[in-house]
Amino acid sequence: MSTTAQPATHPEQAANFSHRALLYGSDEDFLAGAVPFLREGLAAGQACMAITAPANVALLRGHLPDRGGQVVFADPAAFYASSPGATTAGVDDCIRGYEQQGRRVRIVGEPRWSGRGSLARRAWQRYEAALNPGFVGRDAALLCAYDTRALDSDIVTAARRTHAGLSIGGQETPSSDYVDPAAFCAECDAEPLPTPLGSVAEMGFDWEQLGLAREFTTMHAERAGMRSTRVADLVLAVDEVTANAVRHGAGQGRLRAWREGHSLVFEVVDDCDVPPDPLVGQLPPRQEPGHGYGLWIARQLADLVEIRHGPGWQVRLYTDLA
Amino acid sequence: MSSAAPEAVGAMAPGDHLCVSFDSDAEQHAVAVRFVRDGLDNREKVAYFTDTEPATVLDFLAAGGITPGPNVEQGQLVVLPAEDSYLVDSPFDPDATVARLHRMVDEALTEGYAGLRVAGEMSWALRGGPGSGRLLEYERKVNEVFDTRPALALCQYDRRCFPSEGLAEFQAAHGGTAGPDPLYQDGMVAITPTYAPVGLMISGEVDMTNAPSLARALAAVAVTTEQDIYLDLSGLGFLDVAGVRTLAQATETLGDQRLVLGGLGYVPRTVLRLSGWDQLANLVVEDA
Repeated sequence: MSTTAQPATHPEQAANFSHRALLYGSDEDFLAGAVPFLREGLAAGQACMAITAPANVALLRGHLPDRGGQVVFADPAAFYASSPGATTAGVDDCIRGYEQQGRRVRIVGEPRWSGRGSLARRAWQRYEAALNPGFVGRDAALLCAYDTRALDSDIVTAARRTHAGLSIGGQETPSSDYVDPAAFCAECDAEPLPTPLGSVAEMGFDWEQLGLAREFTTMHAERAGMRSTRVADLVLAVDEVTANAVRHGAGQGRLRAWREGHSLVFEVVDDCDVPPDPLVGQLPPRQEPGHGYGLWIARQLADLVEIRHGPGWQVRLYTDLA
Repeated sequence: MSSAAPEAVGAMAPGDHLCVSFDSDAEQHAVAVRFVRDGLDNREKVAYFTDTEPATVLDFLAAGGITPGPNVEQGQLVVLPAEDSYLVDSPFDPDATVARLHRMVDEALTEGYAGLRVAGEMSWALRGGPGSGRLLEYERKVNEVFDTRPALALCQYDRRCFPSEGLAEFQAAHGGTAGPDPLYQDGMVAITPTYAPVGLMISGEVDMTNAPSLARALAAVAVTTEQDIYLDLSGLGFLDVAGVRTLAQATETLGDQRLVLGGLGYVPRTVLRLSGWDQLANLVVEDA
């Protein structure tokens, strides 16, 4: 372990929850990080999962007891297929399931990066950052694998900034690049969203027009050819955002809709001059009738939710039509 | 069964010939009291034909907040047992009964009332008396009175007595069904009490704007029973986090009672699942 000064926030030491990045440039590097991690877990009777590409699964099976028979393998294409918010909820459900059995869980996960646009990539980096505060105290260890041969350097750099600990070539080190998650997310949110190019449908709403706003959402989602359950998901997601605007944003807002490439985009803007918490809607809410669930739910139903501020809130929900 | 939703009893008007079915006294009384009160308020002559004793009817009307004595004295409210109404003729004679109703309308108008309002408990027909098999024929024929005169009728069918197959036929002979008034209604949602099981039927959409009204309706129904409270959500097309939070908060005030949700459509089911409040101890989601 390095003896240099630790970053100001070091969640690994503070809580049960461990979240480290495994940066690998070869099969050997991958195994050097993943195998001891899983073996330790198995030896301690912990639940072990590996959500990684088939080639890596084959490697792991060759180095684990019982050919990895005790490890639960899941397909990363499926696990990371939905939105970052839905995946966070999936991780939450997974950990809770084991917690209810009194078991700690270790997960080797390999997020998917290829085929994602720049907004989506930043959203998945935000996902990584938010896992740190989101799962403080949870009985789990996550090891996120990054293939440095295949990934753009900015993605690997982001991994160093969103994980407090790194596993490189079998060596565990704290990451000197680790950034406070709220600061990291605020940075992600600093770049303005692109102006829509095509025509934009728009309506103003206050608390009496939330139902009309739902009709607006329904109309545009149906027009875009979405199937009925997806339309319903989007109506719910957009409604949570419009309800937020009415509650927090001087009682009114504007709802816009347009097409952007293969996406249908809804945007809610309001005048609320209190800036959003950079982590809003990204942390699993506690089980009590509190507040802040709306954006958590919106993030699970839309493919991407982007929030900007200045002046007022600007919340954009992207849904892929493909 | 009529596929249309029941009409609220408080919305009934001359021309209506509706039936109401019930399987609890509480539900029957709630609907009948409202029907009678509206007739008295509207200066209609109110005729209540009971299969019990008039005293029983007067008691539950009084318990429902009407003071029937003066209305009976003045002749605006007439409560008659079946023997003096449907069963005046033996065997029961649909045509004679229809003619008698016409005369009752004439009398009401002569006496200065705005029209005639009739409430009938129809279980007399189950006694098997002579002619009682012609009840369906009567229900069909009597429509003409309400189509042509300033009159309306509410025919009450006790589901504890009438077999369900026959009930559908009787309902079809009427212009529709009536039901309890909503506890709350706005342009978006109607929240109506149910009696068997005790609870609420919530139809339309619930969001942050009417969630407080849902909270009040839940509080109102919670004090009426110690049993589980059933929420029929089959007509609820939209529910958001504000609505789910209202349901979750309602369960906190219940003791051992549970809130049982039935008939959940896609959006309510989704928002419950995503909010995690489908895991509460005393909030139960009934599977379809």
